[in-house]
Amino acid sequence: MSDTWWKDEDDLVAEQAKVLDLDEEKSLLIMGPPGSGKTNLLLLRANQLYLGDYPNLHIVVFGSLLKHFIQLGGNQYDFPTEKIVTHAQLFNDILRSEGMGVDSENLQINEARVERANRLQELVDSGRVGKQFEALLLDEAQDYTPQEIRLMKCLTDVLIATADSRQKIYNVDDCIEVLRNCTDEIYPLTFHFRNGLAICRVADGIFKNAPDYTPLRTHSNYREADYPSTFMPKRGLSLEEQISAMVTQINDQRFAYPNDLIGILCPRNEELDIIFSALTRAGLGYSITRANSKDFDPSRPIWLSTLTAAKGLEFRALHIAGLDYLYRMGGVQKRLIYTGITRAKTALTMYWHNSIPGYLESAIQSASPSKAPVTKKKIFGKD
Amino acid sequence: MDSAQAEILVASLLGKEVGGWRINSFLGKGKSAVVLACSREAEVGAIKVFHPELVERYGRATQLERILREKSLVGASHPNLVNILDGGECPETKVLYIVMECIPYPNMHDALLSIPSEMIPVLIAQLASAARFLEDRNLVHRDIKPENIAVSSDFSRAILLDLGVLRPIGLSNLTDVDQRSFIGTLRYGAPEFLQRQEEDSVEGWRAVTFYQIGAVLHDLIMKRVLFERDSEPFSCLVRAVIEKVPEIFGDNARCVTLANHCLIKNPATRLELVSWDRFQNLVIDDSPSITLARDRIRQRQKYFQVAAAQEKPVGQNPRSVRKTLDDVCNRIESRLAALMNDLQAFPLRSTQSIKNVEQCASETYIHFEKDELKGIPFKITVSIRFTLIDENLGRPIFRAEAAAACANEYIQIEMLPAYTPIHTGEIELLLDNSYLEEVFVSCLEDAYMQIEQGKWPNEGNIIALMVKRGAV
Repeated sequence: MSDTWWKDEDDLVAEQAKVLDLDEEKSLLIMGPPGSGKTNLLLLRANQLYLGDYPNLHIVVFGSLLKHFIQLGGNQYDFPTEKIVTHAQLFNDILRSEGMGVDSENLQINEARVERANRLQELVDSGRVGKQFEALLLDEAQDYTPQEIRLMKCLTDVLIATADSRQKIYNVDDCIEVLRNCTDEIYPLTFHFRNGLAICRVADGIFKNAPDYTPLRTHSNYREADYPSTFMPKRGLSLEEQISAMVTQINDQRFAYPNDLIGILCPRNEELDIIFSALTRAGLGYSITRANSKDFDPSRPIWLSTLTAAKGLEFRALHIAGLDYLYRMGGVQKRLIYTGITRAKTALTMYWHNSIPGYLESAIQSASPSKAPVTKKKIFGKD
Repeated sequence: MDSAQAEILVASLLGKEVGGWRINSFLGKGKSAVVLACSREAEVGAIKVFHPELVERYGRATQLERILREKSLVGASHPNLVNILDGGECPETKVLYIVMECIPYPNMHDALLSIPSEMIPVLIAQLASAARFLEDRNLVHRDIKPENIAVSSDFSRAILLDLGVLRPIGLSNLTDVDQRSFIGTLRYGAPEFLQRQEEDSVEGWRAVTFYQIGAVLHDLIMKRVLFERDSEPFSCLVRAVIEKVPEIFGDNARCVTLANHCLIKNPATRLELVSWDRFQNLVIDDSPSITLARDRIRQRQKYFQVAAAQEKPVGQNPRSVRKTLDDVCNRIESRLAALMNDLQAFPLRSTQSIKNVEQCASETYIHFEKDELKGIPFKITVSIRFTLIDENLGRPIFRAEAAAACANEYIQIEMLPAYTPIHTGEIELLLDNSYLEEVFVSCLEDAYMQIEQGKWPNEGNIIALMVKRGAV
């Protein structure tokens, strides 16, 4: 966690520091690539508003895992960590106070989400709920629906949102246009600092043919000498073999990065369950924690999570396993794996058995050292 | 010449005089001559007498011409070249002979295992100095190899022997009867020399000499003869000389790099990489920071040797060039990222690489932002161009050049000033040395000097910044 959260004015570069010079009453949309400091800026802005004229504020995050993660960094600020809430919590609290709480027990996650928004919409439309807050600060705003954004705008004077459309991992209507309309100024961040070049290359490979994509490696200012970055693809391994390869590496990484988080991400929970019990048997039981579960213990150094729940997090070393199941993630899978890959700061290992989607295979190939030319023998599978 | 023939020749000479030199005792025999101790008044020497029958068989005129060539060095003294005292055709016995100083030292081939590695640089520097002495006199040795080098018993001095295949440079009408056959020793012959494709010019022969000195350096570092494992059969050795990249590793990275460069197959590339100075630089002390850099090189080189050994040579085709350039750009970008992190002196940057497969070149542009806190009120762009000049059997050689400029606005890459050559060599050498660091540091320093001299770029103008070429 050594350098995840900014502790000092000098940690900010000019384009980040300038955000804090903007008028406090302004609603802002901060856009930038992974690792450009969006979440850090959001927390700093929150502290600035809290210490100023906007103490009645909330930092709204998408999921509870991200909430825990941000709370780790929120400790150093003046606002109480309870100010950091998930959007479900924020909406439900308002609904309950009006006697219209949604009981999510019997509902699918998405159904509950739609239901909450619709009920809140009624309350807003009927004038029963108005501006309740002085400021709302939304992290990962690209994943909200246009309706949710409009509702939040109705609940607050000042709306600060951070977003990156490349990291939109939920299949909902695009809200970037609405975000633009609900804010006074779009503030772009260009440079980023989280991902080593080896990791940028894989991520760039995913969108290499997208016309409006700016490669991450163009604006990377990662500290490559302090932490030389590596990427390792591991193909042809059964899940069991993936785990044993992972264990060897994790032991080395625990030694190399004693104060940093290590992540293990999978597309599906099924593989995570198997990995969790195998790592426990391998003697790592006291170091690991299931990040997207009720038993999550953020003080442990190795976090296991689905790709989806890991948004917003960052790990010094990251293992993405069980990639054979990525194709089941449907239309958002490209942005999902992009978001996953960009969680890695220094060391990224990707594991799969038989097959991964073609765009990913190609991205991995362009990020790996060059191969020998394909021989006829090889084409016939004989080399 | 077999032993019996040699014995008869020696017996017929002992106690007699040849060219005024009294023959005292037998020293040794070669393929076409015997060597005997001799004296003339107080002067002592070693006389090489050519077997008369063999002289007739191979052409008396040729042999005599060689001897006279060697004799032309009488009086021209160099501490690392055997002194020639006399030579010619004996008026009485009619034998052809050459007299040189007597050197009481073993040859380098026999002493190879006992030569301490810390003496390698000085021995090679001396050997090169002797070869250069010949080149300055428009001569080329053509058969530099460990057997032809004597090493003093304290290993501090090398003496180049056997000037028998000495040849003047650039005389193509020479009566060298065996012109199409191979002179010198196959194992230590440069590929172009082996195929008799060497260019008869100072440069052409210099390339051959560099190769041979490199081969000697190889033997000293590796403590074994070049292409030892490919010695048999003969065709195997020929193939090794033409297409095998020898594995060289040792404690002295500078020696290893020089040996690698000397042994490059393509003579043009070899000349681009090696100059006479490189040999003398072996004995110049390293500064500590350079030593650290060399340690890093050494680490890389170990890996590199292994990688090169596994890789099959690839032809000059667009795919392999593209792959090479992709790889190079990745490595340059990573190196620059680490460098910027280390230097802690530059503003935020954007990095962009452009590859040109047709021209075998890549250009990596670093665009720096304005940074008021650092006192840099304009944008700076630095470009590093790497041109692939030789695929060199899977160990590509690049020429590195750089250009830099500052302006108020984003600098279009076609507006950059002319490129300055930085260095030529393997990618590891170019990246791990301080060359790139010097490019960036010198251009940043120049940027500050422009500011101090009040030369700010106007709207729409750019000012070229100086990039310094690093010391070798």
